[in-house]
Amino acid sequence: MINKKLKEDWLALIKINKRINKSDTPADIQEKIKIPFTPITVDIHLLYYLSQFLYPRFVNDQKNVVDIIISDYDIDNIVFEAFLYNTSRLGIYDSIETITKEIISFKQKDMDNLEQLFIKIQSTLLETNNTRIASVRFFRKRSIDLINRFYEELENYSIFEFLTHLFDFVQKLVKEELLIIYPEPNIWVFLRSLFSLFGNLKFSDIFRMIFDILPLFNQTLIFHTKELNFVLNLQKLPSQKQPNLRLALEKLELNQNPLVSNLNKNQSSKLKKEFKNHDLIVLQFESLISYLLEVSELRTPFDKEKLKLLLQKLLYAFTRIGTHWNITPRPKIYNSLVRFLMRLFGYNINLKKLSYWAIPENFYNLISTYIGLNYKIALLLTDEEKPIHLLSFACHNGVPVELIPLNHKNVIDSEGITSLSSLWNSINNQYGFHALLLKIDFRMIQNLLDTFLFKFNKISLFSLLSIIRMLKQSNNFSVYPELPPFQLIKKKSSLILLKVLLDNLIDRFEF
Amino acid sequence: MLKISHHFLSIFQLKFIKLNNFNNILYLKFKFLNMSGNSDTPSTDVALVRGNSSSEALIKGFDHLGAVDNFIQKNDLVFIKISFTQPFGYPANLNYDTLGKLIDLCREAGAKKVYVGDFVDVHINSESLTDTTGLSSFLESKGAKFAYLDNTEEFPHRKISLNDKQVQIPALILDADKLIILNQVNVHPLFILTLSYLNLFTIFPNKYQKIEKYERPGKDYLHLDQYKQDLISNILALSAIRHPNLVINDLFNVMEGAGPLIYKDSRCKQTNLLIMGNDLFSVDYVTLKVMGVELTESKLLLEAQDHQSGRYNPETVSVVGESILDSQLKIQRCVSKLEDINVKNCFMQAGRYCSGCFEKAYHFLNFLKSNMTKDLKYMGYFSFLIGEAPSEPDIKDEIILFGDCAMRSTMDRDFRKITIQKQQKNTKKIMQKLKKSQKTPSKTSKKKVVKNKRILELPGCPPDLNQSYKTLIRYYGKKTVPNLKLLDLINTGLIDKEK
Repeated sequence: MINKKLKEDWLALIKINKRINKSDTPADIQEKIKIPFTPITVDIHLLYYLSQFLYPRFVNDQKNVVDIIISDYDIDNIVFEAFLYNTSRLGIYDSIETITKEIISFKQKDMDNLEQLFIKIQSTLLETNNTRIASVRFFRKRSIDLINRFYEELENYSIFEFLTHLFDFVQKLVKEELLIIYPEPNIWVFLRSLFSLFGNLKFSDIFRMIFDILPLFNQTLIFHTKELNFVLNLQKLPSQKQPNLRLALEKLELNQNPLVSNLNKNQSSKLKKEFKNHDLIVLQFESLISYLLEVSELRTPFDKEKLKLLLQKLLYAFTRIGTHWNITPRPKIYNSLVRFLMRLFGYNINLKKLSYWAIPENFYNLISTYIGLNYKIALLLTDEEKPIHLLSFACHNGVPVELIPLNHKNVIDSEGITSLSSLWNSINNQYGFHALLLKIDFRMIQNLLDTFLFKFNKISLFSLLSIIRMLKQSNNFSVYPELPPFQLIKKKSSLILLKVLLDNLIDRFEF
Repeated sequence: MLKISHHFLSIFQLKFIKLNNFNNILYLKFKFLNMSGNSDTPSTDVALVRGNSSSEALIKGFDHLGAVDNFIQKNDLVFIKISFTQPFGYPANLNYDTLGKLIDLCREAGAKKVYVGDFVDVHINSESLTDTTGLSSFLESKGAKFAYLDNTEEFPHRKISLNDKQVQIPALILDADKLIILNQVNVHPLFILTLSYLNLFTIFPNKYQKIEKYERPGKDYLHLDQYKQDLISNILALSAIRHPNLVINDLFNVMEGAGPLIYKDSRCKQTNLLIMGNDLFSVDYVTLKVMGVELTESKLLLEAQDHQSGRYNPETVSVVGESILDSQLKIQRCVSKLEDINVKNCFMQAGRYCSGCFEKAYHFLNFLKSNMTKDLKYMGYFSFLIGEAPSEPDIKDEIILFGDCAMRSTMDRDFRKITIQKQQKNTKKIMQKLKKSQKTPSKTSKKKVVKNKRILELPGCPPDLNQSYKTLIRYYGKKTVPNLKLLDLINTGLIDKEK
């Protein structure tokens, strides 16, 4: 029933986990293994660590799991196959045992009360196998067919294709309830909430759209954990036909804490040579996962206070350079002398003093005041005035509730965009009233991402001013109706506007 | 002899027949649904409808009340009075979906011209406001026009007597064939909800909307809350001058918690409801019932009922469409006490104040709470004194006196003066040390009493909020109030320099 290659990979993983668990010197086991369901090969110790760290936090923090493949139809016993994983360590699958149909059997109607079914299976296995299970995964037969098909084509996928197919695959599993987990982990509920926000939109389409907009980048991220360090390199490569993404995930041997002190010359040059980029970003892995865990606890409809708090935490982490993250080489903007000189001219750009406690509140209140509590916003992405994508965001009480793709051909004729006001009125007539129409050229987005993300080490007063100047140009960024905050951007001089914005974004006092 | 009413009948519905043998004349009373603007006794049918969208609810409402043709005739000049005073988002301002559909229906019924209008906030340029919010473009696309009522050249005003005062009302509103009130319902600090009566009150310029303090001899202005009495009196007097032909209370989304402007504590509740009829009182009465507010809680409607004695009888209001009981909602009203508005670092001392100061202070404090997160931290602790004879401030270093009553009644209070150490000149200090006659400074240093300069007075009865914010910036400096400074810059483009 299960794809042969998948079976082989999965059993190989179980075997090697077992070896590591039983070995007195696990560090001597130097092997690489493919992460199941991916084309990515990694060091076994890295995979071991990630499984041990992530599984209890995102899935289940108890031992022993049962996988049951069930029929889609209502028959006497819907169980096709069942497997028991006795996990001696949380998240580490190191043994597998087939459970016979005589031991576990139930009907389709039993699936209506998962709690009862779980208790029944748990007590059965306690009697027969002397094993107390923590979780059951029900795979509908259709999901196995999907998994098999996914695995068959996995060999031929590029990284980009793998990601798009993976997103579609997971979306299908969640939305159509082809995989049911009891007790349901937070991450699963979060994914369901997220997919409900997208409506009929495919997650892979959103990913493809975002990827198309991203500038070419080559980013190396070093993750520092208490036990080990590893590096993730992501590259968007130029390509004529298909989107091209390269991904590398490797364990890193470092003698020092890369958050606190810079990497030594040899290590740094080795990484730069291998991945061919100049800057390295170091992230504190545990803090990052803790944050993502909080994000995974979001449910729709989102709670605006929780969203504000998450944004506050993100900004706070950003101010903690050297504790939660680091970058090599450091942007000149962090240099005290440079900051002093800028402050002399009235520009307080101390990123360590970002007003993380006030920015989310002010930003949210500004939007609520001028756009409203319940509204729809239309976002038109262009490429030199040619429309590429048209999306509609609906918000209720200031939190997003729906994202709908619109067909821009319904509202923009072949001649192109004549005027923003007429386009806005067309969208209102066709799709209901939208409080705002944002027209953004994708080069503007690329510039923003370059300045604040991919080329962050080059951030300076001048790069910030150039962003503001770009925002003033209507071919890059325009809005209709031009509400007062947007009018301020267009009319006020860049220098004065930056000063005023910095007063609002950066804490006044150094200590 | 059969006597039939002279009213123009287009579609009618027989409700009851009353036989009267007085003078051997048989009267046949027809209950009809033609809501002519000249009708002396408007129908008390109120449509309470629910829809998946506000435009769907509007169509349902008209169906219940007997089609749009009963309200709008061919070649009618229609004026739609909306809630539109500041550049704020929905639901602080109108529902464009409802407005758009209403204009479409009016035009389909054959209206010659459709005007939409309101008197915007006193400081704002109305043309800038409609351009900025896109309303002028939206109306143009619908075949309607925004009436810049403050432009007396294009829309001349007519003098009318209102409560023994001469006021001016745009002739367009008085002479329009049909006047429709499209009212967005939100919570209100004074009147519980923003009712249609309040919407109608802004059909004349802002200078006439202001309630002048007029103390009656022998009557305590504050104790009787004369401000509110005068306001209600003006509202009701104005409502008698021009009856609307159609009143629509848009409850599709209602702001609760804090309103009618959008603040930190404001939340939007989607009810999917619309209430419409041709009688102001009936529509507002049903709105109160649906929102769980008793008539006795609304001073405005109680006065309205007394104002036209016998005319407005809640018992005669008949609701068509949904039932009130099934549609009833619970909403969180505005706070009734200023002390319940928690503003960081603010210590409030309230004396006796009227509704005028209460309303302004409500908006002022909510503004501080919502839009000045950073500024409140930089400003530090401060005392906020309002009303007549407020108690002693907890914080004497920074005091805000809000309104003429607070300023006047605290003129002779202790906090107006502070005692400071008299500073010795540095040269004297150094000389004393050199002489070695006094190695340490004298324990008995001199003190002096000076005027407390850390008092910010916001004058007015009640204070003008725009001026108050500008005064705050001047007093604290733009570095201490960066959020307020940014908002001031944002709104500068809308300010009418002539006003």
